[in-house]
Amino acid sequence: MSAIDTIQSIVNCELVNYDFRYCFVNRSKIPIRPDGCEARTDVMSDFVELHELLDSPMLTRKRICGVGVSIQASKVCAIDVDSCFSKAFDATTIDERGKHVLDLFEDIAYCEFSFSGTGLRVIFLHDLINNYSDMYYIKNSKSNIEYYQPSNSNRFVTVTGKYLSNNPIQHVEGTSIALQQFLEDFMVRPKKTKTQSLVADDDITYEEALNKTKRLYIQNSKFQELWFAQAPGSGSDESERDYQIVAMLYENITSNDEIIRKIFETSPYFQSKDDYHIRKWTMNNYRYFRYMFDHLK
Amino acid sequence: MADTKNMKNIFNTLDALLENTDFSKVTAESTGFSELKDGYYLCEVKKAELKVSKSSGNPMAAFQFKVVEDGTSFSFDAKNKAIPITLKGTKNRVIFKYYVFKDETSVQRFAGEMLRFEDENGESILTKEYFATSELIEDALDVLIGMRIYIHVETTENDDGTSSTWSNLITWKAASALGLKVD
Repeated sequence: MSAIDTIQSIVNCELVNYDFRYCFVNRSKIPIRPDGCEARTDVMSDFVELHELLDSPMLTRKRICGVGVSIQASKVCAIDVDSCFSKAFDATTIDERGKHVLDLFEDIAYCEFSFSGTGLRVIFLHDLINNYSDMYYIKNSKSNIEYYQPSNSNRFVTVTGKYLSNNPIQHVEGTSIALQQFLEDFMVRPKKTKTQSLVADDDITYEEALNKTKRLYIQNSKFQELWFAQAPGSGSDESERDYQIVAMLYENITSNDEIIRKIFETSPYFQSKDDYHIRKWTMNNYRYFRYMFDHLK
Repeated sequence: MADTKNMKNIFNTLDALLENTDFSKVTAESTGFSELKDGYYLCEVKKAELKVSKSSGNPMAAFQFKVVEDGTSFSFDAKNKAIPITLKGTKNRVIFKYYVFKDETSVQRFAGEMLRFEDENGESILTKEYFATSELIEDALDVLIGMRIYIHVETTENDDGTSSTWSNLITWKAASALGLKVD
């Protein structure tokens, strides 16, 4: 396949009617600007209108083998279902995953074969889902399905124009329901039991807080490393380490400032501080600690 | 005659086993060994040597640790008090750990972890001078063979739904605070 083939397919389907921002794609799947330089996926102006590709001398270069669109610059959403057709460009060979996704979107979204012909891509418009990554995967490696929305993830996707469902790319009623169903079926993150079982608690005794702290350093290597480390002294990153420990106590143990301070002072890390840094910690009624704590609040 | 009967029994037993075996996840890379569960393992250094990473071509320190006692994990009661649980059947398992030297940070990280090998008084067995040249690092690795240390095996979930398993070396001080047996 070449960029010219792809553009011919694009102008014969609904892709041409949407204001995408395009780039070329080379054999290594790297996005290329019309001037031949690599397109930076975080720079929207590196992706251009279709006619600028047509005017570019890169169009006929051998190393250019396709056309991509920027998710961010084009303000579209896309779903990729990898390897769902056992035979390239043969819709009858679709597997259960692909069929399920196609059933959800074929009446409301533009759906096409991927560049290899063995994957399915769905393109549509939808509002951004806030805190998406907290609830859902961007790429679920177990099911080989990806979802991109035009946030700051700086993605581009190759397009082929070899459509399975040639719906216009526009806001359509029913997209939210289909998308929600898709996310629930394929992209939900499992609950993180370990971290969820430790939630900061205001109403907690000092002894309970100590137990929770021990639980945190038993289960969390990062916290354990900070807690048992030797304080590095001046000229290093001691303040940063102080802040990290206090922040983890605040997030996982309690929001009670007095308990956090006392627990911090029991740490081997605190006890290895030199005189200068102990003074810094205690002076002016723990002003340094209070400054950090106010930041966390 | 008895041999024929025995073979028949073996075949019957094996056939029953094969019938109930799920081969769908078996690949040429399958080892048959399950991953070590998350927990703390007292280990002894069996091998420690400088090698070249096959994947990146960078130099690396390759460790082979043998678990010398069944590992320990923890459950927690309603008040978050830690209750140790013995991970039976983990004694004699082997943990491989590689430190690939690709940049300054990775070398610093390696040196920091090596300083966690301590004597009975909690003093580092190695000094920072051991990390000045590759020859000295080779000497340092020789010094560590036979030494014991706790390893924390921890699994974390990645953003893409896969998981990663980490094995971190633990000082005696930390092991003692965790309630692990420190002789």
